[in-house]
Amino acid sequence: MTDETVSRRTFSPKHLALGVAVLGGLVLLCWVVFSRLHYHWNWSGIWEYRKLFISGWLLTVAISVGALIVSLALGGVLAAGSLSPNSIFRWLARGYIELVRGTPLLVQLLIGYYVVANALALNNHFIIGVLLLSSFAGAYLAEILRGGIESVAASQVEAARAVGFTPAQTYRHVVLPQAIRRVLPAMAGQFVSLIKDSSLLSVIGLEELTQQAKIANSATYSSLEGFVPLAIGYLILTLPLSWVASQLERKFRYED
Amino acid sequence: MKIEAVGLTKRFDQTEALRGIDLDVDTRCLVLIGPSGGGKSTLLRILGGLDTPDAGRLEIDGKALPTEAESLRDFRSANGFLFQSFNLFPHLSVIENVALPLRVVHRQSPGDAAVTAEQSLTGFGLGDHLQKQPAQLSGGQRQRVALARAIAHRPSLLFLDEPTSALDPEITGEILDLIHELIETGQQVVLSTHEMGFARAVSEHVAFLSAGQILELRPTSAFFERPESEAACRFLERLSRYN
Amino acid sequence: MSRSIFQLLVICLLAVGVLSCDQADQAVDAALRVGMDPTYPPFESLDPDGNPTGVSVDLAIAIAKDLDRPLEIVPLPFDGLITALKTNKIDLILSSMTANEKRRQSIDFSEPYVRTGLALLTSKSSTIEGLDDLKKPGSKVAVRLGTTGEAFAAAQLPDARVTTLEDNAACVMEVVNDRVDAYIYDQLSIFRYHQQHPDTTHALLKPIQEEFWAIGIAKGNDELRSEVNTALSKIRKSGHFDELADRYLAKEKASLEAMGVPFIFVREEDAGATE
Repeated sequence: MTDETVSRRTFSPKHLALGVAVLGGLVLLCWVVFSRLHYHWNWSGIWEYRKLFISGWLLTVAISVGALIVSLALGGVLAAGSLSPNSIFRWLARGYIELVRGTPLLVQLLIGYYVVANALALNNHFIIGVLLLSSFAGAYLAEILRGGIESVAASQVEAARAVGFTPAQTYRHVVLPQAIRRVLPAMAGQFVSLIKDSSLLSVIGLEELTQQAKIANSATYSSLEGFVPLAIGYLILTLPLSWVASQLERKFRYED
Repeated sequence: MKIEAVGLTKRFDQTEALRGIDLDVDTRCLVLIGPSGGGKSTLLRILGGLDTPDAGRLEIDGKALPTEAESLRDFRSANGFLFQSFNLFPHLSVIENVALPLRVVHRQSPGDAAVTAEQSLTGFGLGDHLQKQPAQLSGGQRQRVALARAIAHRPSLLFLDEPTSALDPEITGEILDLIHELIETGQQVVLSTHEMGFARAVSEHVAFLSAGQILELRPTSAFFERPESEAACRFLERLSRYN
Repeated sequence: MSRSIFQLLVICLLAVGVLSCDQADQAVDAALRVGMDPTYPPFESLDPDGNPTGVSVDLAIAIAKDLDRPLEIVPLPFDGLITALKTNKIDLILSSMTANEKRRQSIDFSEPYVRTGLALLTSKSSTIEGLDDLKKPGSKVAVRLGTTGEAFAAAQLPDARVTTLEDNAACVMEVVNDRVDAYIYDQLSIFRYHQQHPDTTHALLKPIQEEFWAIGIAKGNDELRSEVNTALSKIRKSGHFDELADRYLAKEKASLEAMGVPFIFVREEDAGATE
């Protein structure tokens, strides 16, 4: 029971100096480690293949965005199903979630691509890839959402009832807003995983960033150089995501 | 309001919270008192439409309480309910806590809802706190917001479940004053409380519950002057020992 | 305003993704879909613009021309090629794939077009000079997942400590960093990797096991098989292989001929005999 507003974290020059020092230390460490590798770095080859990296990165972005949207929708549906009073929906939803969470993504991609997609006569690799990745991430999101929803206190539902909300209104105005605020960090983590998991889609022939890096590596007979732009490419996507998530989390924070 | 009940029973798992309650009273303010676990809350929730009895008949103002979900919901939305632990919506601002039900349940336009909400809140001294989050308020302030939410739509009946039990003793008086004002201006109220002085001052009728049954149901002054049952006597004596 | 720009951007990105993937035709006169793993220059690779390039690509172009069908190169990871052929995602595998007994159980092969072998990239400190040294207990080798090198190690080197990796580059790094004694892979790649790392590796190019590369075809598809064999025969006779050798493999050709190891492209007269 406080009268204070939520405290703000400020960046002081001291923090900045510390950050630079840590980063510098890491770079030094990397340089020392790599210099012991007896490795001839060939950066010009990688630069020559920059178009490949860019096209691969763009495809990774497209896959990630598509899978993010679809997995969020699927996760919502599955979470609702797993909480449903109807036992058939509940069993279907929970069965699906357990199956997907219990098997490796690679297996799901291969079976999904060679068996399911063939059966459905789907041919566009991108759509198949996005759907398979979304099916995987959606199950994890569903569990995260369900946990968040269940963690919203029963007294909140009571208050909503007392005020006269229908069950739908209760979900929309009271339960979901609180549930989502609670699970934002976990959801952001899941999305970061999704972006990295997209690299597995090369097994079904999608020329995303990791695959293109491997191709560039072999075309230039390099072993490691290609992985530097690859890491940077993924960081460009995952770091802002984490930052946005922590900003949202801070904005929505309140004491219970 | 006229409350008529016959044989109200409510069971939770193995315990019987209410064992065949009979009630017949026409009053503006009914207070429920008694030892904890005696059934006050349960009865209050049933009267307020938050729970349905397992058996028995209940009529308020000549109309039977609906059992079907939607009509019961309409019944609830026409009234107001205040909880012991405030139960505000923590993710909404103070004014939004009051305005949202007005818009969603009572179909007021956003403009009207905002005005009504502001009026209720200002009336309770919260005019400077409209945009704050509940977490930023003290307990007393939160209960005032909850009260504003409960009465903003001018409910026909107001149900209060131990409204001051979770508050610091100094703050209790504030809330009781507000409730007293509401009753004076004609609000019909059913409340449960441990504050005997308050109960005696504002209510017209008293129901003393113990072990799931109403042991006494009498006009207030008569009850407090001379309680008839031994249980009530003991209860009142225990409460006044350190007050 | 910024919100609708964002939405527009999202839609554009998704459209790029959808449109960048080709639909496969079901019609009979359709494109000849050739699967290959473009991580194996100079046979299968991509140029900086992302177009397939290399010996196998040129060979595919020549075959498609002879079959009078438009060509579609389908890049896939190596260990996915056979499955893709079996599920009719591709028509041919042209990816420097060795025709061996195990693979013949799943798919058919054309007549071979390259005769090569498994060779060794050895580390600086290793004392290995041939197969006998490899067979000694305690030798450490690296192999690539899904290749004949892996199968060879499993069958012939029971006493060796085998490291199996998916990535070619990773296997090379094992040797460069002296963590294994040798990398068992095909001759031509070993040659090139040694060129890349002259100070830290040796190349033992005499094959420890001879291999033939052929084009993979779905089991039972005899019509396509005979068409491909006919095309190969014509290409051999036209001297096209010599052109390819000069264009892509000049150094290798010179080195191997100097060593007395026959250069890789199968001669017409040997074609029928080596199946």
